[in-house]
Amino acid sequence: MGGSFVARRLGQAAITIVAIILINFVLFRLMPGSPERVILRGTPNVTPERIEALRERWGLNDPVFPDQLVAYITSTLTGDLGYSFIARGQTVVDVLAQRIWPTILLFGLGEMVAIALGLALGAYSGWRRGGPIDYLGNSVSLILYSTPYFLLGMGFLLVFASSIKWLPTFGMLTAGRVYGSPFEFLADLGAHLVLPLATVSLGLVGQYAIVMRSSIIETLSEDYVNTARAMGLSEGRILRHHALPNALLPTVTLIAINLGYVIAGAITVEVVFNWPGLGTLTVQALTARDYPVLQGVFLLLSVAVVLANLVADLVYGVLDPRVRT
Amino acid sequence: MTAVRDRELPRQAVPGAPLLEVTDLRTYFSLDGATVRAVDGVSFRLEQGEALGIAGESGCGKTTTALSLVRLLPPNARIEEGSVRLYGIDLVEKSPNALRRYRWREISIVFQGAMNALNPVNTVGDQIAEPIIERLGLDRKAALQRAGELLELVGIPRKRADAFPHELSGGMRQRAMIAMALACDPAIVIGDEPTTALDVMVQAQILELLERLRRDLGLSLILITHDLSVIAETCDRVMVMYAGRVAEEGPVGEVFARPKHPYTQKLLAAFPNIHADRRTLEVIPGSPPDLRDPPPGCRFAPRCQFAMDVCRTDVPPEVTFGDGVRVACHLYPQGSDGVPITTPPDANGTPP
Amino acid sequence: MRSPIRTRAARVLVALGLVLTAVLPVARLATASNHLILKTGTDQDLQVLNPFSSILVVDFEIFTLNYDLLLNFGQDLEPAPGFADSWSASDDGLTWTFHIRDGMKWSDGTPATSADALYTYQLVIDATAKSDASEDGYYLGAGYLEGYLTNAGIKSVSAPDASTLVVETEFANTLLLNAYVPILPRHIWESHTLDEIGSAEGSTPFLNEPPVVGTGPYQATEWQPGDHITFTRNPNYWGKQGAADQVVVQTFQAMDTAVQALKSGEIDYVRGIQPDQFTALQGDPNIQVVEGISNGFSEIAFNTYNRGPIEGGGASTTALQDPKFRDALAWAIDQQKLVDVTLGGFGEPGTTIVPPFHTRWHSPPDNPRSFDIAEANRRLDAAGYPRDASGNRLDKEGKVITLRVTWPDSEAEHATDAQFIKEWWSELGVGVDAFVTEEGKLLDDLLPPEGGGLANFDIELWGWVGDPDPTSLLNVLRGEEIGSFSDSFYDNPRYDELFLLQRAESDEATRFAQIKEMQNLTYDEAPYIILYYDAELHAYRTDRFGGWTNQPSDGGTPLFGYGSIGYTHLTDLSAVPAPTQEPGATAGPSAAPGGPDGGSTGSDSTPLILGIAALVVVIAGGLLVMRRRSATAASEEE
Repeated sequence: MGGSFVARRLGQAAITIVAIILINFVLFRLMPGSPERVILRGTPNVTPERIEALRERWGLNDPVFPDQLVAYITSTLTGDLGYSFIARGQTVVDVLAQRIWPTILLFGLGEMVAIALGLALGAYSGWRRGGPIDYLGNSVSLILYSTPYFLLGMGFLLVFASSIKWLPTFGMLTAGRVYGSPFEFLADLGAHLVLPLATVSLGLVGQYAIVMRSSIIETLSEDYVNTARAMGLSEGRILRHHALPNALLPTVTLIAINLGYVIAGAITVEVVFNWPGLGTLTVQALTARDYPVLQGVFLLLSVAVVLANLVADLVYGVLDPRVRT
Repeated sequence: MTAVRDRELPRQAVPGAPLLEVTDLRTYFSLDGATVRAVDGVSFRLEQGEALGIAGESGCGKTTTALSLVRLLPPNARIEEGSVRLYGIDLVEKSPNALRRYRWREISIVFQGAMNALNPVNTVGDQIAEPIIERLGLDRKAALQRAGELLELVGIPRKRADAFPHELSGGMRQRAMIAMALACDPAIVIGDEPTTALDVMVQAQILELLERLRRDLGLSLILITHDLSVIAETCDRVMVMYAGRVAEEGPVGEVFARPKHPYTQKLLAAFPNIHADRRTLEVIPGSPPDLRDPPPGCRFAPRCQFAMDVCRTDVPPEVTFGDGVRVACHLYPQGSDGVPITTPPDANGTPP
Repeated sequence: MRSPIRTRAARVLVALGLVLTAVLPVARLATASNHLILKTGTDQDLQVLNPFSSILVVDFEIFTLNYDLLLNFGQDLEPAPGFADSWSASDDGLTWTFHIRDGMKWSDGTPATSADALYTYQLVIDATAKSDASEDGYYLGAGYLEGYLTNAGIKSVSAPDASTLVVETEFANTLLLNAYVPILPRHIWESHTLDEIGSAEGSTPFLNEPPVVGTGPYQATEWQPGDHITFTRNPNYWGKQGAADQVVVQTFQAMDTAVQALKSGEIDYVRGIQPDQFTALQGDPNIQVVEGISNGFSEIAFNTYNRGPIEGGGASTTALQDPKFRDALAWAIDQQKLVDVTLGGFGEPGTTIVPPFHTRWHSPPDNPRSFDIAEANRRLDAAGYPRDASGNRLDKEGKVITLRVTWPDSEAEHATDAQFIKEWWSELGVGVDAFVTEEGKLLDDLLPPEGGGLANFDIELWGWVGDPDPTSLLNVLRGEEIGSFSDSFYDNPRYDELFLLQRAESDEATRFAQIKEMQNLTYDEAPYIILYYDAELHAYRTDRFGGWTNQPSDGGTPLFGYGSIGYTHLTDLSAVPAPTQEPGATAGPSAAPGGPDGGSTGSDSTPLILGIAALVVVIAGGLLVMRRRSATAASEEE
């Protein structure tokens, strides 16, 4: 794969990220309500002098453009995202670092499971089109695709956590629990992970299966599949070696595009299961109007989406030689 | 440059039998509850080293006939009757898995419009090597070596094996397809409209290549096309099909110079002649019959100007003549010795 | 060639093995443990362990678990022993002497003496002095705690000996007994500067991270910001211990999840549930629901600013300055309806600014109103607000009266209230423009010129939450507070006078009369129309812990009230004398955290075992199918 291909993609990603940083800056300065009021949230007897001093200290009196903008860009690029309004004394980076790995765990695993299951199901359904697996798989996929995350999540909660009580209702770990061994820790984490993971994966599996299925069906009508059959290759080989690599192409695109929506879904699933990740952080920061944290979350998630799309582009380049030129 | 190869025929069950003998092949399709009789009683034979052209208009069943040989048919098709004997072994009777064994190793196909006939995500070299690895059991290194040789054979520089299909021109892709078809050293290569998608200059190159390969490798060729000029150039014998049946079959020179079947005559007349005077093309009035409910008797009867009453009721028998031509037409009943029982119209179309 | 069956089967078995080993310990652990944890759930965000940064109810709950106040709140909010076990006042009421309990220790074993109380109160005094002296208004943290001492007129504090604390006040009053200021361990805190303790701008805030040292019944030992805080029993607690060895306060993003967790037994207590959830839980035999009367109210606040026109802001009509106008509008408010619709029936219709929660101080108005549109119209006519040809009321300047009604986006239920208000007042010919405003912006809009703002609003719907003493609620309508707390700009010299009197009054009957007059003044002149007193809806399980006692006994809730007394009453219902006990885990106060496991889900493992069995059957079936398929595949090979 050409170096120029990679370089081009990296360049595009970098430009997008810069644009995101700029939008981030503008957006949060368009928010109604002065930030100093939020910082002082509820504090009684605030004198105008105190407000003025605060504005000075937070640089809010400098002209927005260029002073504040330059300050913002330089601090962002050096990793200084400011201080949380609400979590006194903690930097935004601290706050994000505390909450990021639960989200990565849940959604990373969820995506992987969904991709594996969805592609397998879709490929098999498309290959044995009209068969019982196809029929069943298609119905299930459509149902899952149309079910909103929170409904799926709450349904699982009701059945598995409340009624049958197999699994815990909320959180990532049992609060206040002391672990005798790393094994116990993993077991507790695993038990808490099952329902939210199932919600995330099943919510995504439907889409991936449907796209993979129609993709496979399309490839089946391609001439090279005919040629492969004429060659006397086994059905398994044709599926694996000829149909799948081509059918993967639109699916990879879908997965990348989907990532933005997955992140939106992150908030819903995390809220339902009380998962202590970036989703719940976003809700909390929104309610409390913790603008620096919100800015940080926005930046983080946007960059994540850009990077994911970059990876998808590169993967696509590996899969399809036609785009490398 | 490979020397002329001697075909080994260890599997010949009946000595002296032709390489390929198709007898009374019937292939039907199930479509919306009705049965489409796409190939309805086709017989022919192919000798070792021969090039047979199958001609006819779209939908006459020529492609289906060829695909039936290796049973490369869609799920709603079935071979109703007939036999396909390769080296005397009837392929029709083989189970699907057993038949798979014969694909590519004995009979391979070069498809038309090779843009998508090649997998866009694999290199050309890999695709040629694939049947060598999978079917012949060679290891990858040896297979790629052989692929390179095959590319050279068809006139593509060996180093282009690393190219992807979209990086090759149309002509080169077709050559690559031919190389691929030769990978397992088959006895018969079927070309299904191999030059249709190409411009005339490239077409000529491909035909020349096929001719050379046939000569040098001792290949047997079945060429399916609606383009009579291709057949005229490349083939030894031609089989004209109409509505799922054979109309006429025989040596190319004979059939093209002295067509016997009215359909063949019309077909040849419809072909523009670059040397002749400018005139309106002759068309054959009407259209081919609906194969779900074909007419009894001769299928060309509704459009034939010589149609007699018997044509509409009885299927014309196939009669072979001394000059090697086989015709299925009531104008040429058994024993008529190549002379029609009525006088066909002259070139101007006026009846006698 | 290959042996697909064997490799595939091997892979499946390994996977199955992993699954089982991961799942079976959970099944084993799902049995009850002997380490008793009380788990409570709230929808508020837990962000602070430094008491001075406290803002939310849950923040206060946390510091009253960690620490004692000088005097805690008793069962009915009466002053009760806390850090001090007895107290007395001088005859003139200006000097208070507190006896610090003998032999008391901090949770880390250090002796707790009057020096700690001195240190804590001195912090507040120093901060207040700094605030008065500085230009930019200095406060300790969020600034909520100083008021408890400054309102009591604190002047100086001293500690003549280790058991005695003496506090001097500027004026006589009893508010010192309700000071919601936790006594902090000097030996931990004194190494930090005032700026750090107060989270002042420009300094590194002192976060007081776990493990916390305090004299309260439980101290925070583990903290996941935004998620939960775990408290462990104070081994050196001076008072009666509650049954719980540990307490976990868990934040929930969605109340539905919290209620599910309560039903499944994963938590024991939930505060702040919705009316429909409350009703649904009433049928559960193991759950008790509690409807606590709120110490606070929701109100219509009028912009009554009468110190002159405000350039670029101010109210849209002078009618708002007229008490008769406001009173007439108040006749067109059906408080009961709002309780039924907005609160789902859980709450009380509003009357005066001292909620009925304050059983000692609330008095109903002498001139009560009722919902009477005709009466409202009559009063508007009598007050000189005629209708024009289209039926719209005109103010004294002849302008059509259209009132802007807004509320903060954080109080979404007021949207429903606004709809009703609009409907009712349209029958009076008073137009209403109802819209929501983002909270931060609304806070800006409410500032008068004295506070640096433009008071750009007509009516806002919001609420106040009070303290055990009604002074803080009465404070918001003081003329003194225009420019800070006052959002209605009510300016009545008699009211202000009464405020100072009642604050210093020690005779209850006299004070009652003063507060009563204040209630009537504000009811009749209606700078606020009190809409309702919300109810606090809590629920808790009755099968693990017993001894739930409401605070106050009448109309309160067991937890999230005023202090830690509710936790100390709890008994262990599940305690059955166990034949064998884990070594080191006793039920006594000396138990340190570290039991083998704390799983408190009471699920039984039979369904889990069944599930595993089903899984095994499925896997075995899959293996059989695969074997058959490979067999047919083999026949296809050449």
